[in-house]
Amino acid sequence: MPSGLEIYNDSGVLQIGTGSTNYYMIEKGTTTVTPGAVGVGTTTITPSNSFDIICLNTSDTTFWVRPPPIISANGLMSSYTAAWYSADTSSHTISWWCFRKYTALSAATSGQHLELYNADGTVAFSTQQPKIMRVFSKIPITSFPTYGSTTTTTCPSGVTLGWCMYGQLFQTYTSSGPMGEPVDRQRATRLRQLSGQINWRMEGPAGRSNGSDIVNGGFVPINVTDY
Amino acid sequence: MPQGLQVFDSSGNVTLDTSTFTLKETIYESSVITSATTVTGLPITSSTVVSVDITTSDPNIPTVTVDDANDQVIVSGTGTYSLKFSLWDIP
Repeated sequence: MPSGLEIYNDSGVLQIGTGSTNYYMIEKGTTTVTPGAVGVGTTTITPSNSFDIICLNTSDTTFWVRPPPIISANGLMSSYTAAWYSADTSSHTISWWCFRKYTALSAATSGQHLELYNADGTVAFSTQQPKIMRVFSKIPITSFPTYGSTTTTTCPSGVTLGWCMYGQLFQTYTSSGPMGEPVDRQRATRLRQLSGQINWRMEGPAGRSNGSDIVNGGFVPINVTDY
Repeated sequence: MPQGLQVFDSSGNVTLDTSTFTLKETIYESSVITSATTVTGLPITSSTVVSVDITTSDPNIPTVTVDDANDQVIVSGTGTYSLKFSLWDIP
């Protein structure tokens, strides 16, 4: 029987306690993308602090971004390269929020704080960094829309969300290699959040026939309201 | 009014209450894989979300299937790749 304090949420899931790894927001920001042409591209986000997890959002009607996998690096990341699709050459904004594990914190030695510790003495939670990473829900994806079309899912208004994804969401199609040989390629899922809804779709080179769908995952919205 | 612990930041905004999920994480990381494989003995339930990160230069990306009934993850497909995944409890 473990000793100490454990906190559970309304669904009975352990929030804070030994065996639970929590994260706090260490930095947020925005990155401006100015596409040179209509189509896909990438941009590298480089926060001032290294981080374990990053979530993204964009709310421009002609711009989409691929959510990062919700997975911690085996070692901190110093940057993240975000893939996007733009339907025009206007400048667009990607909002991002970065998180680090509480275990990376040093225990407070002064001031007034509430701190909870793991059995090994590492920090499990601390009001030194009160902006804990809050998972809002998960949104499983069961099938893809036709290439180029958009699926809309309602999301709550009044809540600011950053987006990650889990599992695998892509579609393979067959293209031709340098010598005409068949080569498998992938179209990736991209997402944007507009007022009260998210839109998501497949993006990739046009003019290819659809191939196999790999639909074994979904989106994970992170609640970053007031962060 | 929620029950349990609530945490507020210095502006009075709630940063933690019992309606939100935080995450339970267990990371597994493979060495380079060149054939189908199955990772067994994982604490997977019906509410477990498996996040996958595959590193490969091979165009044949493997498919990862979560088998929660048997506490395992099945990686199928050929190619040369490494993968890591984490388990999150999000009902």
